[in-house]
Order: sequence, then C-alpha cells, then structure tokens
Amino acid sequence: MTTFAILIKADCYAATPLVDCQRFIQASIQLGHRIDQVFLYGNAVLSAMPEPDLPADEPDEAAKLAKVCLEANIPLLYCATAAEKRGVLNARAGYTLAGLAEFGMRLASADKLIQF
Amino acid sequence: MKRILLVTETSAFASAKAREGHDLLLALAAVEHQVSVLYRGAGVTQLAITAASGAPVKDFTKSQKLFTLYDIDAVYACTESLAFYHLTADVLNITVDTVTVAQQQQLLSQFDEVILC
Repeated sequence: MTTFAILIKADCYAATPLVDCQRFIQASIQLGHRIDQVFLYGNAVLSAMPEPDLPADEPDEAAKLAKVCLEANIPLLYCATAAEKRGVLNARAGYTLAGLAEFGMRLASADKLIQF
Repeated sequence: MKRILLVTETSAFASAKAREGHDLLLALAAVEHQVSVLYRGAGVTQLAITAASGAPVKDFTKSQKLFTLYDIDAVYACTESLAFYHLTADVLNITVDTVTVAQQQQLLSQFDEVILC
C-alpha cells in the first residue's frame, strides 16, 4: 500500500485537473492505496469558490471532487494566501482552509506526491 | 522529512507562479524538509532581478538571500537557460550551481519528490 499526497496547481476551469484527480483517487482506493491529502495551490484554489455560476449543462467538477474526498475521508485543503489573492474569501462545502506549512507537514507522512 | 527539488520555470513577475513557487520553497524548508531549487527556462531571470528593474509588484526575489538561513540545500540553475538569457554568474543575485540539461536528468533522480512551479 502506498500513501499519496496530491498537489493541484493547474487551472481548475481551464484544464481538467479536478477530473484527473478524482480518477486518480478512485483508482488508488480501488487498488488499496491511501490518499493523505489533496492540497490546492495557485489557480487551483478557484475551485474552492462558493456557488460558481456555471452553465446548466456543465458539470460541477469542484463539487464532485469534494464529494469524492468526503466519501474517502480525504482532507481537501486549499491555500489561504493563494485564495485570498484571488478573491476567494469563503469556501464551498467540503473545502478546508490551510497553509503551506500544513501541506509540508502532511507531506512528510506520504510516500509519494502526485501533482496535477 | 523528504528530499524535495522544486523546479521553477516562469519569470518573476509575469504571473503569480514564480512568487508562489518561491513561497512554497520556503514553507517546505521551514517544516524541515531537505529542499533544493532548480531555476530553468524563463525561471533563471528570477535570479537577475535588481532594484533598477522596476518590478510592478512586490519584489519577492530579495528573499533569495534568506536561502542559507532556511537551510535550502542547493540552488541550481540551468546552464543552457542562463546562456539563452545572456546571464552570467556576476549578474546573479545569489550563487548558484549550474547544471546542463543532461545533468538535470541525473539530478532529478536524487530527490524523493520533484515539484514543478
């Protein structure tokens, strides 16, 4: 069994990191691995934005990621500083405010870091 | 504690990427990881910013001087990238170890984790 930490930095609405991350989490759990944390940094913090006004026919991948993490009991963290600079002052359900130091400390207990 | 290499490839002020990579580097070092940094591509220009550059945002590159204090293991810069941007050791703000692209392949394998910023 491997314990993974996940770091998402890519643009969550201009690319597909949230989908890739969900698939990785689901595949890892199916194979008996563990995910220690999902940490959002850079533009990825925008997925913590509460109530995004998405077109009705677009899937809300940020909400799906929160659901996947909740079901698997994985802390879904977003960087406080990066979020504040992008105007994300509150978070949607399932997303937890954290600092870079917390990411670093949790990383110590993971076997491998995966970056999207 | 892990041996981590942070690779930074963007210029200092064109986006928040360089600054956020720099912050991540210091944060990881502060929580006792063994951290090194590799400047490559446009990232090497982060090493040559001066007060005269007239940065439109806060000049975070000043705190490169704190790398020793934070116990940053090593600071690497890509030889080819430095040449591409016409940067020589005497114009860089801090001392770096230069590594060629070929050497970088070997370098990456020395770390537990590689983070691209």
